[in-house]
Amino acid sequence: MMGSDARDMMGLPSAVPTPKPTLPKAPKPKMKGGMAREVLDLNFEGAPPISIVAPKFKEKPKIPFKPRRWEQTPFMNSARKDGLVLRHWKREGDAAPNVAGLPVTPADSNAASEMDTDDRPAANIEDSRAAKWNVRIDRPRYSAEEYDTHLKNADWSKEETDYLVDLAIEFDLRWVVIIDRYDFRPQPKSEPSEDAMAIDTPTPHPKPRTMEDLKSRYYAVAAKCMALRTPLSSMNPTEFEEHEKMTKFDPRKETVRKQYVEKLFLRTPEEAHEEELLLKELSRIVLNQEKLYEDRRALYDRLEAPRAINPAAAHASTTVYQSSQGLQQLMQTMMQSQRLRDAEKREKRRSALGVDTETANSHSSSAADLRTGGGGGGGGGRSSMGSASAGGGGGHEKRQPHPTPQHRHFNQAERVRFGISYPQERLTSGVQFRHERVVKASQAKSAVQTTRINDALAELGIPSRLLMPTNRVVTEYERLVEGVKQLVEIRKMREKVDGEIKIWEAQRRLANGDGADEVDDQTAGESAATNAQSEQAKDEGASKEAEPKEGENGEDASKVENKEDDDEEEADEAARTKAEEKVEDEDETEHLENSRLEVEEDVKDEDEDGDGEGSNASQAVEEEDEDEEDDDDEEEEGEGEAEAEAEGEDEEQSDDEDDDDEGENEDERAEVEKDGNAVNSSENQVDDNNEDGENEDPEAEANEANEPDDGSSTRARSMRKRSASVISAVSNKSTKRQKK
Amino acid sequence: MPRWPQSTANQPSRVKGIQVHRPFVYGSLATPFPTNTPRPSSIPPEHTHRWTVYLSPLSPSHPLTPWLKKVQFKLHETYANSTRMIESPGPFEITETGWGEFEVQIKLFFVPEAGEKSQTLWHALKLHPFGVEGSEERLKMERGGEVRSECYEEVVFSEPVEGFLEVLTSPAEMRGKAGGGGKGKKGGQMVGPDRGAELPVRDAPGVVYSQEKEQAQMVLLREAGKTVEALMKVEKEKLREKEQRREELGRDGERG
Repeated sequence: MMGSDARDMMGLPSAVPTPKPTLPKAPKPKMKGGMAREVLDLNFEGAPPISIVAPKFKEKPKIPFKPRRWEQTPFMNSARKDGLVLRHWKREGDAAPNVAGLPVTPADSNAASEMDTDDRPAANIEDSRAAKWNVRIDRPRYSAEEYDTHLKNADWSKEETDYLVDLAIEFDLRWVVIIDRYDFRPQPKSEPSEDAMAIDTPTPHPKPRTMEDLKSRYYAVAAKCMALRTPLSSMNPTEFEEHEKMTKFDPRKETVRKQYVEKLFLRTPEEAHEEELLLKELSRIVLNQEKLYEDRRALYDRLEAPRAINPAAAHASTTVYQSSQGLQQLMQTMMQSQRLRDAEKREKRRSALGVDTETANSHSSSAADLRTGGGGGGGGGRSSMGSASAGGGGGHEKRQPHPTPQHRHFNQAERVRFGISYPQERLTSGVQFRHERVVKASQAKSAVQTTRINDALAELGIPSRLLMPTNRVVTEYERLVEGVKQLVEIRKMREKVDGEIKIWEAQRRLANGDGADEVDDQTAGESAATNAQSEQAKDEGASKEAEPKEGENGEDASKVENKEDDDEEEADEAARTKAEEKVEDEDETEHLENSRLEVEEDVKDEDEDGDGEGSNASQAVEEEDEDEEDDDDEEEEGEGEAEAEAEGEDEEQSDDEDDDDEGENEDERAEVEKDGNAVNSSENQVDDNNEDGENEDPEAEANEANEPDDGSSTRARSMRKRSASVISAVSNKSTKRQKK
Repeated sequence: MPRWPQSTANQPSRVKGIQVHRPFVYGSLATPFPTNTPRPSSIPPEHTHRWTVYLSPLSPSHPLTPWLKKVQFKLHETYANSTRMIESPGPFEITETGWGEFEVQIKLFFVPEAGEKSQTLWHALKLHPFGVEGSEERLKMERGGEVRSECYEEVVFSEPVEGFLEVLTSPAEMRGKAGGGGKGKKGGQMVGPDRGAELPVRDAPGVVYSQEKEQAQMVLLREAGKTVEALMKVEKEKLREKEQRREELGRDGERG
């Protein structure tokens, strides 16, 4: 027997550690998918290969830093006043950056500097992280006279205010604590002398204060002090916000809020449950409302529909009731009339009984009553409907609410007093300011027009901002502006006519004074025409008898005459003047063209005259153009050197005018087409003339080079184009004339 | 589909064809700092004027509270907290110091009953005397040093919401009371402190905008209207003449 056995028997712990059975545990049969291998064997042929997994230790985690020591660092809390230094565990390297990175609020630093000037050995003792939460509020400070001027309140004595501020600061605006500790005992005002004691002055009772009272007083004082220290304008946004918050404090609102919260808090579970149910019900009603209205509407529609059919008409033509639908309608109509009669009877009975106190009530002129009774009063008209919808079941006690609540009507005095008006024009609901109407009134459709109107108004001594834009004044103003607009319109018209007169006069001067030139022009035109003709003859080998007369017909007078003849029928002034202007332009270019043709004919001395003439006319045209620009108001007035500019403007306009000319050509061509046989020749002519223009190109350019302003190629082209179109127009005219 | 009337219960309906207006004034008052007396150090040295921009009732009997909830003044961005909001009862005014004139944006917010969006007015702040050189007003301003630029304005509620119309058309003494209390007899149309939109009859010290002034304005406008009419007559005559002349010329041109 071994010692160990004896010990074992004795129950003593073994002295030497018993050799543990070192036998490794028999490996347990591997399970796969929760089944024993043997069981698996039954299902699948052959045992699955046993995977041998070598036991492996967990890998050592790789840490990217070197382990650092922890050390006990001293720290202190600046919020404490005793300067107690405690220690806490901190990593070795952490201390330094933390001190720097900790945001130190001014309050902290102040507090720290206040208490730790001497007993703090060095600044390297770190401040507690929690110290920043110790926010001290600035005490609102006020002197006695400041209190007297700004802070006086009938309800609060200075002593109590001081007491409140002290408490508020002491408890850091924790109002729950403040209200708990608030116990202000007002001192008797007079010095407590013996006599006074004898008289026994009643010490003023402390007023009962709620938390809201305290808050509002404190905020008012603090806000005022803040505003006194830094004026509103020089506050930074956070200060301003704070100030706003304090000034906006409304004790009543706060009380109401608390009441609500308390009520909510004191709800019993049953009440809460009921509320929930009610809310659900409400949402259901709201959801179904639309459908309900729809249904009711449909019902009303059905009830109302037969009314639309005139009974007399129904008698007249029974064909309406041939179909089953018609029959249905007929039945409904009859039922309806029956019901109506019933309703009328009932109404009569009721009025005889005199039970309609409600309607009588609504006639009393009290405003408040009118408002509530309005529905009842107006409901009479529809009560028949209401009873009808009730199925004639005698349920007339419950009256149908009037669908459109007829609003009270205001008498004249009320209208004036409440500023009510019923404007005739369509209203857009919303808010406007009265002066907007003034602005709108003086605005015309174009900027120039607007300035003109405003100038006119200024001339009349009407300020642009009316002193009192009341309804009546604005209406009057609108009337005035309407008048001014008309006036401006008339002036514009007159200016236009003026311009026309000028042109006519200029033309007459041309016709009378420069007769010789006219003749030359004629001959020039003629020669040009003959030239054209000869070329044409060359090209086509056909002779046209019409040609020689073309030049003559190309003259201003005859052409204008033509035009005049055409236009005289037109009543429309504007259209007419425009047309004439166009003619004018054409004439002018014709002159230029003629003069150019003269050059071609080597009549050099005539050249200048021609040009002079052209410029003369062009000047007139320039004026015209300006007028037109005024009228159109779109283009800026670009005035410059008279002649050159006139031509330049012509150029500018040439694009539009080309269009116009073309249009005219087309018109005239159409006219010619009526004539029939002349069509071809005129068409040809146009082509030929164009060709002529083309041929003359170098010459024309050379000619333009002689002119004071240099003619660019574009201008030459536009000129050419125009001349071609003019000539074509002329030739068209000529053919027409021939026909006549 | 037209809505069935009852369904407007949750959506306030507007009263058609009706317009209600209320007068008020807005403007600015500027006074230059006196040159001889030292001024508070808080004011920057370049500031030359103290000014107030305001929106105020025409008189105490034309309160703004029934319709106006708050007013927002937007000053020049260079001012600190340039957007200032003032809630209802308070005097709607901002007092500041400065050296430059600018446009102040005045935004009016209406009471929730009105259900209207806010509206904006612009007021050009005036620090220096303005108006026609040598005119009476200008001289007065130059002498007094006080520059007031004020506008009378009317806010027009077109087709107001029913509830709001009631607020606007119930006299002040009735407002707030539970309905039915203030019925009274027929002759009880006493004029309470709230005169609504009614203007004072005539000018008086402190009363600038009155029916008298309104009438004067009307007269001024009517006179101008007459002038315009006369001018128009002349112009028409002229036009006719000119047209005749043109006709003549045209005929001459034809003949020639």
